[in-house]
Amino acid sequence: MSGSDDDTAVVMARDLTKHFTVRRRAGRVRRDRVTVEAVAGVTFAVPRGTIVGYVGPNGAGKSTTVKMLTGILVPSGGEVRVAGLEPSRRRIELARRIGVVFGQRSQLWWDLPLADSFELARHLYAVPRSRHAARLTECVDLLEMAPFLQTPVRQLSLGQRMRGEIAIALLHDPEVLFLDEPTIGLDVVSKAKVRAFLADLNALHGTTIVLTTHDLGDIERLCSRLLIIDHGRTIFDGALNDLRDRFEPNRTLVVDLAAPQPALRIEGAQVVRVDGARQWLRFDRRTTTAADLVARVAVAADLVDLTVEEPDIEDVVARIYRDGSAAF
Amino acid sequence: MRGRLYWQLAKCGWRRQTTYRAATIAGMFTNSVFALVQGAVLVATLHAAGRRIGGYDTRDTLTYVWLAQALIGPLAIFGGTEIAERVQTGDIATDFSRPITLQGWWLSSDVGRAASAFVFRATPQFVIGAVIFTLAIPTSPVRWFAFALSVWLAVAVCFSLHFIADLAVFWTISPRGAISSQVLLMLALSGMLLPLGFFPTPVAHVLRALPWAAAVQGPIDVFLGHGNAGFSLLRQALWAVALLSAARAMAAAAHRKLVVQGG
Ligand SMILES: Nc1ncnc2c1ncn2[C@@H]1O[C@H](COP(=O)(O)OP(=O)(O)OP(=O)(O)O)[C@@H](O)[C@H]1O
Ligand SMILES: [Mg+2]
Repeated sequence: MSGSDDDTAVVMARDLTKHFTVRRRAGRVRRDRVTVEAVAGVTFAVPRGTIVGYVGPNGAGKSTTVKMLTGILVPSGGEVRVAGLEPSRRRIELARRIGVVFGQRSQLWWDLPLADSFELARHLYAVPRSRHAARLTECVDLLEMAPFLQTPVRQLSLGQRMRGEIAIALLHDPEVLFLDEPTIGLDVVSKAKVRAFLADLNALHGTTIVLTTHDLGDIERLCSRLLIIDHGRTIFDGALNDLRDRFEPNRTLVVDLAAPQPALRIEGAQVVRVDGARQWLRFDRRTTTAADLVARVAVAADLVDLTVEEPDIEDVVARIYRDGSAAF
Repeated sequence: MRGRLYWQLAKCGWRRQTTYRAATIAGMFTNSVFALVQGAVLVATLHAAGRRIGGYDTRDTLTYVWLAQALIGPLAIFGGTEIAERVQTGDIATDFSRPITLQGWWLSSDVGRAASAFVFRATPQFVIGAVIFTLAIPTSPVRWFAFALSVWLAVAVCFSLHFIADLAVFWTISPRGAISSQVLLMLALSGMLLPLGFFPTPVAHVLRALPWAAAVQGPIDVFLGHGNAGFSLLRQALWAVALLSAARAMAAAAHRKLVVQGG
């Protein structure tokens, strides 16, 4: 348990699998038992203090993985360790040390004021009164919850409730926070608030965060590391920029010229669009640098302004989902 | 430390129950109407049988009727689908992510709920009966104390029976079978619809030994002073311990085979 692994990797999964047996109609009355491989051998390790994004198309196995990491589901095979514990066997012990938010479910007392759920959390996690108070004040301030602390949870808007859900998962200062779609259904302002809060939490308290989401904005804003899963298998594990470089080496240089011109002929680039005095040049960043290209354009024409466009991460990920592991 | 937690949970259960004010009033109205009808039927039966059946005279019978109806709220006789619903929707996942057993969480809050229902629903409900009819009300403080104890044991027994039926959803997917069987057994065997004393003696003996009697007939016997209160309390306590242990084991087994629905 105290191996050197745990000092760095606070969350670890090795060949993790989960299959569900479901009955399907196979005729009028006949039912077949079908095995669904929700998670089909996932391996990864999350170092302490990092924020990892766990993404994948619908039904990829993200929530199932999170449930195994938090001890809610017993794995069918493989190995899991969170904070040095085997989650499903030491569920209650682990629950004291981690925080969990399922974006589509609630931990809060529906009929009672939000503050009551927070007060109960103090007892549930046996947090000393003064520490709880300090932490609560911090969360209430940062997530701007003061105006609705005394409102029954069922009367809260989704965004208000979600801030409450995140706060209650954090009041006991967990080592690891698991968030399954924490920004689902939130407006841009609420999303920004939640993201800023999580970034601060990670920076100030060193909390490790494992986050599943369909909003790549969450990933871009928060995650230094990205895991992509599809059909229960990991298909990418690395930094966001690696993903871009690997799947979309092309960049676009947008130049504004002094006057409209026919498409430029520049070595190492290809004009993909012309609009008045503005031209779009696509180039492969592995063979050409933007600086070289700018120099060449400046020689060929009268350059007024320029920008370099990064490929849209949404497009990159959409392509990976579509092509699956064949993309690699 | 844990004791404080259970106490807080009970408080949440209490507060939550008090928010259902309209439902409480509607329930009291329904139970009162039912008590009037049931009282009329049972008293007629009693008179046809020579004014006394299995230790019940008219006053005991009416007391039984109003007491049984009053206990519906605290014992949640028809309730107990919340956990089953949570299993079906997958919300049970959040219950399993807390540092407490499923039973610890739900039993504690149910005790709070029952206490609130006892004060705000059962008590006024019984008072309505006592205003309309002459009821047999205990005068000895010891009897009141024994009754209070008996009601709490009944709450534990009832909770366990519901909990077990609800947890069956983990194995059956559809909750209807287990839950409706449990409600049916409860109505038929607990003394909720007919005092167990009204059954033929050998049948009554068997029924009194079953857990459902510990849920309803137990507290009523203590209240009316029928039979030996100490023995009745002991039987209830044994059922409470046995059922709570069974429910606990079942919750642990449910977790091992747990299939959480939904994403
Ligand atoms: N209780 C269950 N019984 C049967 N199959 C299940 C169950 N839970 C999940 N599955 C299946 O396992 C697979 C993975 O589901 P999971 O909820 O982990 O996906 P996800 O990546 O979280 O998807 P989403 O992005 O839509 O939330 C799906 O094919 C799903 O149908
Ligand atoms: Mg999911």
